[in-house]
Amino acid sequence: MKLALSWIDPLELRTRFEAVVEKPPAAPPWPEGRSAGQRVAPVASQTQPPPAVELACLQPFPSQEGGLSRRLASLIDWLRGQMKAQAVFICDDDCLVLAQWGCAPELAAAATWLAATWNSAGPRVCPSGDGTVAVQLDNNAWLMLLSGRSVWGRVYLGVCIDQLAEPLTIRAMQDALSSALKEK
Amino acid sequence: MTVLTIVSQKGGVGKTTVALNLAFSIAGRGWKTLLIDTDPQGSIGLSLRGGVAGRPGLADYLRGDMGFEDTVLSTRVPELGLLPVGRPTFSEACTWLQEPDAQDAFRHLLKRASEDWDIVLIDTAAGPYGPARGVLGMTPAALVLMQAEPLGIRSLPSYLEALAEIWRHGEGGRVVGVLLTMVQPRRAASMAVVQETLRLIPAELGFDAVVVRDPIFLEASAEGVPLGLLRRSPPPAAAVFEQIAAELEPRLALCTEEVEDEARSLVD
Repeated sequence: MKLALSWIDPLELRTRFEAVVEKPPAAPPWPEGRSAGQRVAPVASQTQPPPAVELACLQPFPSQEGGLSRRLASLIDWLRGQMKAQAVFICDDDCLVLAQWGCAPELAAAATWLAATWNSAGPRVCPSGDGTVAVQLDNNAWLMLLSGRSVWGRVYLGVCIDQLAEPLTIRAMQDALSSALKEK
Repeated sequence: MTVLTIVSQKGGVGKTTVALNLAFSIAGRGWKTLLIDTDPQGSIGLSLRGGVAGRPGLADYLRGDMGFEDTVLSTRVPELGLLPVGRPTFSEACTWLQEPDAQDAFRHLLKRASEDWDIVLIDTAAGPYGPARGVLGMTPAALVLMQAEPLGIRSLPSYLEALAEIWRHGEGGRVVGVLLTMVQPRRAASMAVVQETLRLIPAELGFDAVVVRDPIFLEASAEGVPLGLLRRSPPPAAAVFEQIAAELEPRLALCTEEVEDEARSLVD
């Protein structure tokens, strides 16, 4: 007996179901160049050799005053300007959304799921909580997930960018996140 | 009022049988249930004794010849009503529920039904085209029946794509479940399809119940009755529809919030 009778790609079927299980909500469009039906590739480890990425001349994230929401808004602006981010998503360790920009529901769901998984498994895998998870969305889009600590607990930052960021770029984003989370 | 359309990619999967018996079970659970036959071939009427097939119904209502009250048949089950398809002409059947006037009339019919009924179950023609497409574009929820055979599951992606397209251009809608029918428990290939389907589809859309291929359905069809009325003591297969009805209730937000609904002691 053959195990697979359906000849169905499970990911394709899942995509089809997503379109008919709930009414499509009015949401910001999926970042340009991709459609919501495209697949998410397996999680890639940051330890894999990154492709050659030209490191832009980054402006450091300026020190911010004001409340958390304002600082996170500034962080998003910085990511858009310096990293050419296509979408940004920030949630806490309960996966509650703190701020987002340009995120289609599919991307937000993927980011929160990754954050929840990281939050659950991270302490066993990496007790320090540091590190990065990168997911290739397609040939020209990566979802980079970073985490930082705040007085309220761990916060996760998902950034959709066109290339896999190299370590120095990741460090810059990490520093920016830490700065934005820091209470003055 | 809740509206649930019973649909399938292909014919012969037991749509009319499920619609009829499910309506019977939902009504038996206390919900005022109206079963509407929108299949121009009148499958519901052909499945029932009592001359239902020849009576006026939806076609006569859409034509404006008869009012809503005049087309709804009461049944032996107090909570169950039946609106047969009536007597559509061939030309009417060719564009069935796809013309704006007919669609407006059908929407009005559903609105009128909401005054008297808790749930409307709609039996459709097979496939996503023609008459079924017209109905799906106006109804918010669909129960997809899938025959437990390889062809059934292989055709599921294209059918879902068609549903999404219909709802994108219509009033929106959602699938509330995928129900496996014609299951042959003693056939390994049939059970393999059941297992693979339940593994592939979202968990919340699956059912613990399946409808088996059972000669009792042929017997009930020959008698022209739902399973629940075939004998004084209904056959075991009738219980499946009770379970499906119970599984559907929360998905359709059929609830009894006002009624005290707590566990009761067996012995006082």
